[in-house]
Amino acid sequence: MRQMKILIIIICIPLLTACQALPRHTDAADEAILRTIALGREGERMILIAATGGEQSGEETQPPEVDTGEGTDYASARDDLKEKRQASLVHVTDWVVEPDALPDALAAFVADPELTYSARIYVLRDQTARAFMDAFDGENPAVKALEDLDRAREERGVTVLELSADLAAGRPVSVPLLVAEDGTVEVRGEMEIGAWR
Amino acid sequence: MFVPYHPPRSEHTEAPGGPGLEQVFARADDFQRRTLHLPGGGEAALYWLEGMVRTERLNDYVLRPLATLSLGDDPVTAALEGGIWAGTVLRPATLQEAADGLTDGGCAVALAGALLLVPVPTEEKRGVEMPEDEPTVKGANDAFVEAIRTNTSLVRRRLKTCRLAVASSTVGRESRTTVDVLWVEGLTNPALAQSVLERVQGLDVDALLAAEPLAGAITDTHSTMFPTFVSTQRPDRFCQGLMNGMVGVFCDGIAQGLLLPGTVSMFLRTPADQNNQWLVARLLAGVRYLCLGVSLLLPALYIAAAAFHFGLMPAAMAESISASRQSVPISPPLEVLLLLLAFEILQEAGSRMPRFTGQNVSIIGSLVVGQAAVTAKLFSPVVVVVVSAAGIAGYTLPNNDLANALRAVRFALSVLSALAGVFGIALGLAWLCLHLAQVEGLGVSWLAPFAPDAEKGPSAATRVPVRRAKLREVFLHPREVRNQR
Repeated sequence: MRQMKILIIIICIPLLTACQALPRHTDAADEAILRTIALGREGERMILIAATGGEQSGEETQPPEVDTGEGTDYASARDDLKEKRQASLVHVTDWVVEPDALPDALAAFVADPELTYSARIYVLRDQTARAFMDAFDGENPAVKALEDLDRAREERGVTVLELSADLAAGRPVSVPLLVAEDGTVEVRGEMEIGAWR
Repeated sequence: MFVPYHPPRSEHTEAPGGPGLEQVFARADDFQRRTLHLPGGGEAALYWLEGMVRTERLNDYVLRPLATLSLGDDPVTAALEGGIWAGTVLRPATLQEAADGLTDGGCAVALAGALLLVPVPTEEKRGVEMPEDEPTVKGANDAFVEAIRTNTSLVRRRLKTCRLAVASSTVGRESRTTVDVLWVEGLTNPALAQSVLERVQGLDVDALLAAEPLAGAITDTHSTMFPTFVSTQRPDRFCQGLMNGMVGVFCDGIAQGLLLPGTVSMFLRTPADQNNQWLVARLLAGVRYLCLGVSLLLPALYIAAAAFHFGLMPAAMAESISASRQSVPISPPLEVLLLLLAFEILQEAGSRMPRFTGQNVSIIGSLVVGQAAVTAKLFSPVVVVVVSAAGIAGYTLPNNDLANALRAVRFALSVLSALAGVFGIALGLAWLCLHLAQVEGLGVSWLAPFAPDAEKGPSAATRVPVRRAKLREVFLHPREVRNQR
């Protein structure tokens, strides 16, 4: 009886794996831990540019990796990005979006369980998502520049959760407008969002 | 293969006598015989096993009176009534009794057609030393030894009550090992004491040379790695167990006392708990419970986090782990399992080797090989930290048997985690809870006092101030539940 039970368990494990009932195995070393996402539109195409924070390996610091995904909407752009590179969006802490891509960004949070609502959200002022990411180099990643910005302003940016809650309650929300130049980020006003959808 | 039923031991039921003894021990070169001419006329023959008797006692208590005193017309009665200067002079009924008396350190005296037995055993034994497994800074520092009577005396010195019951049995067809069952009459649940006594007396083995077969025969659950009895070297801990309503067992030749039944809370107590201030003792007990969790779950949780649920970790930790795994050729689950195996191998190597060499093996293994493996990028430093932390946490557990069981469960949980992440761990923990809920010792659940009914008692939350520790272990159903006014 005991041998039978063990046999059943041994048979069940590959079966469950084949049916994708067990979680998928990944390797931390292959996974890009994305920290900043810039979202924008180029014509009809949705552009998603994601950057890691630059990993510290002993004494050395790896430069941040930047990957781009394109598609008709957020979901297809994300899939395109993940096809190119095994990436985790769980740790994305900053979303920088073009004004016309803001509804897509908020819809993404509703649809994508991998995204965290504690991420901060910013809107770009007169700058494309691609231009924003191009403003940073290997030594100065976007996530660090945004952290420095928050520290300098002595207030944290608006989180997606706060934004969603206020909009759901019918309250207008002010989102910082950003411009990036030469590895630094600057707030140039605020954009008031009154409603979504 | 057909194995016939263990046949009963062939007993020498014939009447005892000198020639019979010579025949029984015909192949024993340590068997000694001496003939003595008695002052009143006649002869006596003395038989003993060399090394089992103390020569001075044999000379002074047996030889000297027989050689100097006249025992009159009825020398057997005279010898029994003071002619031999020993506290005990027995008259065995059978040859088997006489032979057993000789192996126990007796001297047989064949006198006027009768055989008398005089116990003059050697008392060569190890002195009472410090307990190696359960040291404390404060409190008593004596430990049990291999001699059973020394052990009972160590208990009696602490519990001077005449209610302390000591029931002695002989177990083992060939070893004829003395096993004592101890309890406090009127305090301990009598059903518990009776149950232990019956099981000890019902044990039919060739030789009883270790504690585990004895405890295994007494306790109910056999198909578990978790210990169902408390094994201690310390008389103070043994006495505390008796006073809490447990039953104690001593086995001759084993320098440990067994306390039954064992439950989870007892395995997490240390002798120092009773000697420390109660708040400190409670805090340290909390640390031990925490370490139990760390030791059991940390490697499995690391595998789950690094290989399946990367999002569980904070960003900084995820980045750090990801960076440390760069250039490491093996996957996180295999990395952890291999290091756990290496840890077990080092531990086994260290414990099998002589003490000082063993320490060197541990140091070389952990520091030199570990560091070299990390530098060679065979393992990531985070995994070395995780496995070492789990191993060190395991060393905080006071009971070695429990720690060994947890080592095996830790490995199993890591394998399950490697297969299915947190789902696998949950599955493993569910199985563990089900298994532990089934484990019983003498009808008492292993999970007591936390389950099946969370009963209040001194063990429920480790130490409490003396004025609040008014109850014994209620789940043992002692006859006297209160231990103070």
